[in-house]
Amino acid sequence: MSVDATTHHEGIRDDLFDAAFLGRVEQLALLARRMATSGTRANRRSRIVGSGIEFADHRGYTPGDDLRNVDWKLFARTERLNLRLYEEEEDLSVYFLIDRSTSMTMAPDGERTLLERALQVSAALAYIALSNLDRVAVVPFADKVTAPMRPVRGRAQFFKILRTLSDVQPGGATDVQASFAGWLRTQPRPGLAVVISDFFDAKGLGDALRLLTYRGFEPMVLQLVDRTLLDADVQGDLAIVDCETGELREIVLTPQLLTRYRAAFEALGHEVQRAASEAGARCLQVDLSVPFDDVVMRVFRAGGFLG
Amino acid sequence: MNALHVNELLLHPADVLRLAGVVAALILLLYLLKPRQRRVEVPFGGLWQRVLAQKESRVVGRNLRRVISFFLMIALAGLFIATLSEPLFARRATGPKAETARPHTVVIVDVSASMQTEDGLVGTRLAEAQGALRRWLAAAPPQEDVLLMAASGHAEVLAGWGSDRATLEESVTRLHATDGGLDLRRAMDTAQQALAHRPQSRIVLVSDGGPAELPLDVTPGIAIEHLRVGPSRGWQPGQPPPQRNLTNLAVGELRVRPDPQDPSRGTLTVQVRNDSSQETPAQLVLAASDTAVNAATFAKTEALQRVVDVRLPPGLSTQIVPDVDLGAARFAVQVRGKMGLHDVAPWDDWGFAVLAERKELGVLVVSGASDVDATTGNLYLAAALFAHGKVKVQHLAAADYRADAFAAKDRARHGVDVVVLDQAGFVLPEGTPGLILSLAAAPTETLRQAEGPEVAVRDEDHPAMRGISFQDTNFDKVRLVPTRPGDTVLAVAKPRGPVMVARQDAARSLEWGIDLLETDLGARYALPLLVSNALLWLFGQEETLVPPLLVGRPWAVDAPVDASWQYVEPGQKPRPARTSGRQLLGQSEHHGVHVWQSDADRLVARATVIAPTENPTLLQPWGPSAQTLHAAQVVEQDTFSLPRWSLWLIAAMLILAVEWLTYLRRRTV
Repeated sequence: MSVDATTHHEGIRDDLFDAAFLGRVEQLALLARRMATSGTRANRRSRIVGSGIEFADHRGYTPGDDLRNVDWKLFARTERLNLRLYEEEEDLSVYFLIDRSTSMTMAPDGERTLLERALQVSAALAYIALSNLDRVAVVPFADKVTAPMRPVRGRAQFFKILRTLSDVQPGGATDVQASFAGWLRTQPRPGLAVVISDFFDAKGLGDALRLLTYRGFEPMVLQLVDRTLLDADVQGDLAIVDCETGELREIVLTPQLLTRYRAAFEALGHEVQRAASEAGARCLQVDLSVPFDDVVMRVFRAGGFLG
Repeated sequence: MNALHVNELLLHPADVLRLAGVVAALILLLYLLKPRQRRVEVPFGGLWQRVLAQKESRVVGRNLRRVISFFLMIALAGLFIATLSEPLFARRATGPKAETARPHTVVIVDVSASMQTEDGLVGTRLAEAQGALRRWLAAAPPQEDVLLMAASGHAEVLAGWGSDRATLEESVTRLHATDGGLDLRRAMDTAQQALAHRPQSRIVLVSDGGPAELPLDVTPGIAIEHLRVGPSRGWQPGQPPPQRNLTNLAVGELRVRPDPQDPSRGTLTVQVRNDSSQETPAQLVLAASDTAVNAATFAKTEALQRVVDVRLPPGLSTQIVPDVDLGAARFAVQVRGKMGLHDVAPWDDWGFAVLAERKELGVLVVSGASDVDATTGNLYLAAALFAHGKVKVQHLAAADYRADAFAAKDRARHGVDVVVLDQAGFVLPEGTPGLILSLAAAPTETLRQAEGPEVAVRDEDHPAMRGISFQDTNFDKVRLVPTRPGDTVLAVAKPRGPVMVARQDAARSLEWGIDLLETDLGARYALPLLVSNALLWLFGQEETLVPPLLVGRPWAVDAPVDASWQYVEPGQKPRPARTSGRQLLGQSEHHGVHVWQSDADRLVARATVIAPTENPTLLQPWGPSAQTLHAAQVVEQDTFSLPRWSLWLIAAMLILAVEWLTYLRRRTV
């Protein structure tokens, strides 16, 4: 099956997911398929230790364990009962945790917003995941997760993904940790969690990522940034208003202050990378000026996504 | 803070206010145009918070600027409040001070039997005393503490210390005469005890006795006043003193007239006033000096020239001192009463005069006017030169004039000190002072003229312009005189440019872009003075041009403006003083002394009048005990003084400007 780019589908945003986009997605899927090692079955190793065929580890026997898993050779050497543990191969669930907060909608007039770019990238990656027979779900969040979709499987569900993405409404303040905590209470099946956001969150990202990894998720961080906002030529007395909280602060914007702001912006990116690194997650920072297909390819090149 | 006077400012106050108005409008405009804060929506305010936290912790200067700006605004608000509340502020500020320094007066009313005497229509002397006392109370400062005491054989306090006029007047009404005599010493002792340790103390005695009856052992610092009732009312200036040994002698006018035959000798004419009722022997002390400027310096022995004994009849008399040596330029005459006479007003005993340089200046007038006789030249100019009196004028037709013939090395041979070119070209002899009057342009000059301009004096302090005003003078046409670096612009035609310029090259020169036939200046008193000034300056005698205090122009002395002043003139009732700003104006030319008095103060100023027909036509105020008279800085047509609040306002505007500049700096850094 390929994406039908000629038919108009109800409930899908044409400005984001037009025919050209869908055609490009198809090409991306082909490229991804070449890069994948298997095409028929999900072969991504899960960290769930279970009944797979590849040895993972030993652990001590406790009463009630299946005796078939006892490593008798080891018992012969050590006279201690240990179980052999295998990595279980399973279908992978891929969650696209998309930040829909107001800050993701900041853009100069007529320009793509970070949210729109996030939706496009999510759609492309979702199609690739669906093509790889993985389960895909879209989870929009701001200060909490709203209307998470159940994971779907198969390329036939791609348009459902697109409709869900099209329905994402921007708004709210960013609170990644609270959003993820709330979402995790719905007991989602562990899998790959692709977090796409600008990460303009005063609370930081570290706790949220640690929460995901604790619950068995493999997080992948995609930070979208819009550097055009750093190039503003406005100066003088300004009342800056936080678009999410409405908090107002009076400043006198000077070139020196703008330089410091740019440095702080870069420092924030480093903080996100450090938090991702500490959580064992891959992190990719992508500027809005990068086309979505390049973003997808960078994701693949960075590794960790279906690789 | 007192109001400013005109001459205390560099600019005319009207110009200052105009300038301030422009500045205020500009500041207001800038303030209105001050860009408002722009609202900018940012994706993440927290990031800015981090940046600003870093910046504010590091940049102390910025915080300091804000603090300074804040205090400036506070100061601005304070100034405005001070401006608005100035009357209240001033009243409160002076209140406590006045309280601590309020005057204390003990009024002793003679209620002895003699006060029952009836002198005429006014009734008894006590009734007259009561009336005088009521008038005195009405005129006394409201804050003055008064103790009222009735004195006869003993002293009785009728009203204790207080300033309530109603209570005092009621006490005055209760006064009644006794049948006893007056023990004034006891009353004075009681009064002095009451005044012990009280500031500004005085005793007012209301009685039908004379000053000689007052006890002499009064505590120093206590002033004594006497309100006399009965037939004798005390001495007033211009009236005979009541006592035989008291008088007032005053010098009115002093004139020095050189002898036409021998200019080194002359006649001194002194107008002296004797206020006593009888002929009084006196001395006229004549002093002469080139350097003395006041009575103290004239009183030095080296200035003393002659002492003349005279007998002064009552009233005004003219004393003539012949054969006076006129070797010095400045003269003073003091009138002294003979031994045994006490002059009650010694401040008006001096008269002064300044004798102008007697040397005749050789003036060569070169006339180029075609419509007048070349031998007489411009008649107005000739008249002005004639009025100067110390010039020897030679006339020359323009066609016969050769500049090199009157150059510095040759002009002495021709007896020419100054060359006047009246419409006769523009080349002055080298090294010879000259005055150019011309409407025509020099060959190297582009002619610029103004029709019917308003001409105003630019440099009033220049010797050539002292005492000169072109107010109400009409000019049909003037030439705008081109200036060079170093020139002094004396007068300008508004708004075009200079019309009178003074130069000081190898020799001094003046250039007036006027033709006396194109203006009515010639018919005015200013022209002879202008010509006289010009000649004296050109010839380097400007030191004889003392600051003008001209006859007929108002004179003035500075005085506190919060008092009600009256002008006192001998033989006349005091009348409300003419004031302008904080000046008291006087214009009387009848005598050399001007007296103003208020409830609390008395001002005496003096000037010696010399008739304008005598040289110099100038007045000079002298006298150590008198205020300095100066030319009234404000004439009635031009009355102006800056109100005090305008200073606050200007200060506030300056602060507003600083705040604005600070703001601009904040915006652009």
